[in-house]
Amino acid sequence: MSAVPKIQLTSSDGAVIEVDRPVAERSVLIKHLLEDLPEESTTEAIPVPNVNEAVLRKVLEWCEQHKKDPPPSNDEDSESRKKCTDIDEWDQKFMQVDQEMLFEIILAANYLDIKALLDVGCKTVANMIKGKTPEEIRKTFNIQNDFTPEEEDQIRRENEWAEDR
Amino acid sequence: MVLGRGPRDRQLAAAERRKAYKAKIKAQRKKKDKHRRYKTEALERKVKEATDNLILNSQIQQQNPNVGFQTTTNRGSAGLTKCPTVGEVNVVQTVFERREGTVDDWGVGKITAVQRKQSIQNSGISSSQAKQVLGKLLPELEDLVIEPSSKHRVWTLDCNNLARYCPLDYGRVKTPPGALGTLDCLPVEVLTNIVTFMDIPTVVRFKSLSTFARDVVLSMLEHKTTFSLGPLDRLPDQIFAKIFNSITIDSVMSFRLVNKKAREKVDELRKFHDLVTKAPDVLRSIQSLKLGKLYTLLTLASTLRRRYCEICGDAAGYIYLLRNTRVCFLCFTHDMRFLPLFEPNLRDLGIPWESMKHLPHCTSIPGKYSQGKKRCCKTQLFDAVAAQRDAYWRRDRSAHSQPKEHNRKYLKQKIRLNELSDAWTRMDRGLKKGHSNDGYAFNPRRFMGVVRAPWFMRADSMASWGIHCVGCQNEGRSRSSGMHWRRLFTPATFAKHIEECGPVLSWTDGRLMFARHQNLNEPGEAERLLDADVRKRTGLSLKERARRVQTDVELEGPIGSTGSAGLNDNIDEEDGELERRRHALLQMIGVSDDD
Repeated sequence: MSAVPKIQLTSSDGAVIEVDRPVAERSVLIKHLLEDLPEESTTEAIPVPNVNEAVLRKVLEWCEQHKKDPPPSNDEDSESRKKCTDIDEWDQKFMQVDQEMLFEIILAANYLDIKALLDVGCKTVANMIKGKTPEEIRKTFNIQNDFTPEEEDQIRRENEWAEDR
Repeated sequence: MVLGRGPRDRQLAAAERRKAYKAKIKAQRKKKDKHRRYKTEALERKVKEATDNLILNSQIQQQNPNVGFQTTTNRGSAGLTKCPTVGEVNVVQTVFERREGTVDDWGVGKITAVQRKQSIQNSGISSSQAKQVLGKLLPELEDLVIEPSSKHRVWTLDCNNLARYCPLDYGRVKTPPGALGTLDCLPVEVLTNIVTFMDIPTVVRFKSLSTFARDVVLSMLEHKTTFSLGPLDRLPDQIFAKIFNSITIDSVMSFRLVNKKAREKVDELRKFHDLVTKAPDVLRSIQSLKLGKLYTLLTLASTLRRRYCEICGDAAGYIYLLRNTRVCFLCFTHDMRFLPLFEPNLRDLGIPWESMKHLPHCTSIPGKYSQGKKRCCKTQLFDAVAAQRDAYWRRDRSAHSQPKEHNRKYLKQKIRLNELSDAWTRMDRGLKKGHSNDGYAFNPRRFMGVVRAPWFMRADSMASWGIHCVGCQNEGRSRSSGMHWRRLFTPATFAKHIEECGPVLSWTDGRLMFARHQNLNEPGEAERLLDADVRKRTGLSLKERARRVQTDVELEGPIGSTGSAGLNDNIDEEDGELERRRHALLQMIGVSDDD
């Protein structure tokens, strides 16, 4: 049995992380990069300038877990996949991080072009907003309200059916 | 009546009046002919310029695919585009769809009537000019279709003053264009930053520039320039849109209330923008019925992009909101699945109150509904399909806990039911018990959860309301023949319809329009039907009517000459065409002009 080929990634803060090539290839960006590079160049560390070490390790942890998943497709299935906000159990636990890290993971997934991870991140944020009142959303994301109470009331009234108008 | 004048005098006076009138009409015609010639020449020039422009555009596009329209392998765009020399004809942009290997293929350069009309209407040219342009572009379709009009109107949710009771605040806070001249392109945050670097007299002068400038200054002074979404601000717009795709409309509307920046962000979402600007009544209906929790922006956008009925496959101009289903008029007025149930109906089906809450339901808004415009008050409506499913599940479960004797009886019944191949037929049978007096198109309950909605084109989200066939407008209510006056078509299905039902034979006497499909299997059928239509509406046969029209034209001048100016214009434009058709028809029914 032949050994799994390994590659090295350099994070924005200079840390070098060694990872199995199939795991790193969950990222479409890295996959295309490796395909374009000549065979001998793949031994050099690939710089990932927009992602720091902690986030890169987290992203690679997700890639390791999902390395056997089928590759993403752009057909109707992905449309229906987007419609539901259900996240599987492992991903839910994986995403139980502070907001700072969550948004870093989303941005890293977007940069590295890992569609499935990006979907999980977006669904997690969507679930944080879903079913909440404006006040609860403000609390969740620490957003300051710049509407006056009258403005807020007016907007609310204008967007719902009111018989007494 | 003038006293003391004999019949001879009256005849002379009438003859004089007729003579004077004829002379007047002759002069008017001469003048209008001249004007028409001038207009036609001008339009021909415009069309030529626009076509040249189109060719130029396609050349540019071939050289650089990123410029102008987007073109893919099976979808394209064509038409007249930006033509500065044409003046008011700004953008006549049309989109067509090609489906490879099907009869739907209209070929390059052919354009849908509705889209052409919409785009030309948007361009601000007069209807007569538009008609001439349309006639030139696609003459064979122009005479055969009509757009949905007041005749086709039925009282659904959108006819109940939704804009008054649920106005939506979208766009109300937008800055009027040109309020700050070239500074308009800068975001508010940047403007506020600029203001912070100004000295006091400059700020005062800036404040007096416009209302918007004053608002910027005031917001800076009152330290209300948070405009931040916390950590969400870091996400690019593309990811923001992705997140909001899977959030329900309820949550989206809640998020808009978080702060000004949140509202701005949501309003900028393409799907939300299209929904509010092109189909606001759909959003109003959802908000009014409090069904926001059933929809996400993505599901609603995909329903709005769908153009065919999910039951019969015809073009569909309505959405059934309790189940987010695109449906045509004939289906939602006849299918049991689109008849919402009342609470007593659910009790009859054995569904307890606790379970009712979990079924898709809404409180209807008071108003007028159905084809009969019946006034209705507030009531709870439940989705029939979900209720039936729940009822069957309950029966199934209770049967297994019943004593053996009952169980056997139930199983016997179940086997009989299973013999029916279509599950929906079973449902119909179950429901009809409680709804034997269903008035179909006159049953207001069928209309309380339905809203009229256009469909969006995939390429540029242009909204289309579909077209009706002129030849079907006098057809009965039989759907099986494929001809029903309420059937809606897309250009693709319309071509198929003409193929199936034959070409349209039409005749108009200026006031009334008669049209029928020429049934290819029975020659002469269309003429007979046309004759019956004329007899029904005017009390005369087609032959007599044609003679009467001919006499009227000779004695009183062209029909409609006493009408409004707009009508006159239209009739004059159609005059030549009418004349041609009249001659053809007279020949067909065996009456010569000399008769």
